[in-house]
Amino acid sequence: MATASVTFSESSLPPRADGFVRQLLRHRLAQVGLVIIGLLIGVALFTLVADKIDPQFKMHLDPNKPILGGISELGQPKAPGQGFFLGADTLGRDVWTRTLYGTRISLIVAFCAMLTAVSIGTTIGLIGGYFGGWVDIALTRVTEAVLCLPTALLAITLLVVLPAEGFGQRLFNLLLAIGLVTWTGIARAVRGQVLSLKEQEFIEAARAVGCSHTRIIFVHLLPNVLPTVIVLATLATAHNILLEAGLSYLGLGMEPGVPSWGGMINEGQPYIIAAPWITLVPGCAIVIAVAGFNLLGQALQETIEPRP
Amino acid sequence: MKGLLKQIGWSLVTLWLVSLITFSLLFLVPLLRPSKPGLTPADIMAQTIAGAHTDPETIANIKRDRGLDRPLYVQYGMFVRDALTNNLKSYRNSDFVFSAIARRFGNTLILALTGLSLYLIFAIPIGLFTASRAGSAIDRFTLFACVIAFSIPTFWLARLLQYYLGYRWGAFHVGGSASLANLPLPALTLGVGGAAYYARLLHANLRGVLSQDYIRAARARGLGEKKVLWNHALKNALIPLVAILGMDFASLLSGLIFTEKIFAWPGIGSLAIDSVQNQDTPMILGTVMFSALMVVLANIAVDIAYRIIDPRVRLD
Repeated sequence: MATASVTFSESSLPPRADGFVRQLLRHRLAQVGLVIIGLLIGVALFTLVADKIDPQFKMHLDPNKPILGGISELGQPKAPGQGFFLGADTLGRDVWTRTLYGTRISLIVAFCAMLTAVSIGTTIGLIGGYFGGWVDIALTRVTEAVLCLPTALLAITLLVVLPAEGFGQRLFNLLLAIGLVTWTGIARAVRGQVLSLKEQEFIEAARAVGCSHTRIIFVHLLPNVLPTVIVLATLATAHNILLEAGLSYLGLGMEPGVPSWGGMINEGQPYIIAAPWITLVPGCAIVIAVAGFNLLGQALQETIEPRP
Repeated sequence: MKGLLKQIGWSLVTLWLVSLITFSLLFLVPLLRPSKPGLTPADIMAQTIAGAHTDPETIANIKRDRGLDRPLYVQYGMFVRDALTNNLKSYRNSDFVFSAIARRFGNTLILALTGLSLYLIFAIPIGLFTASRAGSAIDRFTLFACVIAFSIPTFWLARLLQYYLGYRWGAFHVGGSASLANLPLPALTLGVGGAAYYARLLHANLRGVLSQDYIRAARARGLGEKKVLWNHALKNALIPLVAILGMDFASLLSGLIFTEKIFAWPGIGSLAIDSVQNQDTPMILGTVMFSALMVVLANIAVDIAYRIIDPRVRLD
């Protein structure tokens, strides 16, 4: 849903980078989006060093520490308040701490999968659009074929068949599965732009003075498609957070002990009647994170291509 | 007409590529798995069907029956032949893949169409309302709320609606079968995100249309603002949405996977996810191929619709 096509004409090119940044920072949606993204990155970095500042902090994650007493005497997880800011889960772990730790996996996966998709999509779009002919036809067909497949189903299938042992392998699988199914929108948009760019005089001039294909693609075409790619990359990051959460929700993400938002919702949903906070809190975290990237993406799009 | 035939031809190529991609995915990737020495890929596939501790004789039978020890291109040929003649059989039960899909197709279609109509039912009033008050506080707030709404994960929204609207407040049925009573909640789950997304698109299109000369001309002739919006602007602002609707069909199907699973709606989405979890390879292939076919058909339908409503467009 996030990868809508972006049309982009030469006349609406941002005048200069610093003017563009100033314009973006004045945009209300961009402000909200940037604050949210900043907070998320801050939280993710904080969890990396949190247990060094306060050893008690990470212990909230540990189900084998009865001192914390997340489970009441009746065997129920404690509700928000009672020493647990946003309640405890069924193993007595602090939901708030786990949600903070979940930011890390979410951001890493979403960002790296976005980079994977952007590299594949931009390369295919540039090559197809620039060289044209049979290369273009073949690449367009492959793009269309992948575009036809429902992203979630394809990613699920990939994760089921890939070997999944250990933290690193599972992380890599997630990046690969999400990256391999989401590049199509970027490829399409880049190809469309290259098709119109390569008819312009500056490309003709570059060819006339004897620039190599590689130089034309990387020095002359790539910078011109970059604004579109940045918009789509921001929106793709939002989409990737959703997809990662969905895959973790199905139990295809990280290992059960590793805190991830989708996984927390999966663990919490059987107890939604008795302890709704286990499901509610990570869900809200997903909505905030996805909204942050979507808001920035929308603002970028409107700044690059202003409305009439 | 010629353009349409060309498009159908390309669609067939696309479907062939889809079959190639999914087939190689399901049959090549398991070979990457670290396996015990002495096991051939065919053994691994046979073990996926019968379990890891099956006796060698059964494994040999399965391999022969399913043709698993044949070269991959032969197996691909067999897959295409079986798919075209509906002889593709599930690994888990005696069901034929396309018979199972045909049984469930109606349910998925009803849910998808209800979800799609909710898109438009919500998106058109919101789009019209915000575009006519462009720039005001309420317009900005509505558009902001729309971004939040399409940032909600489907599976979470489904659970919340089920719990609050279904269980706590008892307003709707919580699901379990494909019946009219069970339809509102899954349809709403699908509808919310899509409606918010389309409301924003419609808003942008409307603002583009409203700045055009023929709208100014209509206003100059003394037409009321309501008439300008409904009769002149809306029609032209909706046209680009039709094209996007075709492209978004694949993402609608993705949403269906989670929604159908959570509300136990017996459609193709829940069939797909069940077969992935059961490692039922032919069923996965079947559902993926079928969803690709639906997307391709939706795109052709959108193209035809586009030619009818907007004769200026000549797609090539």
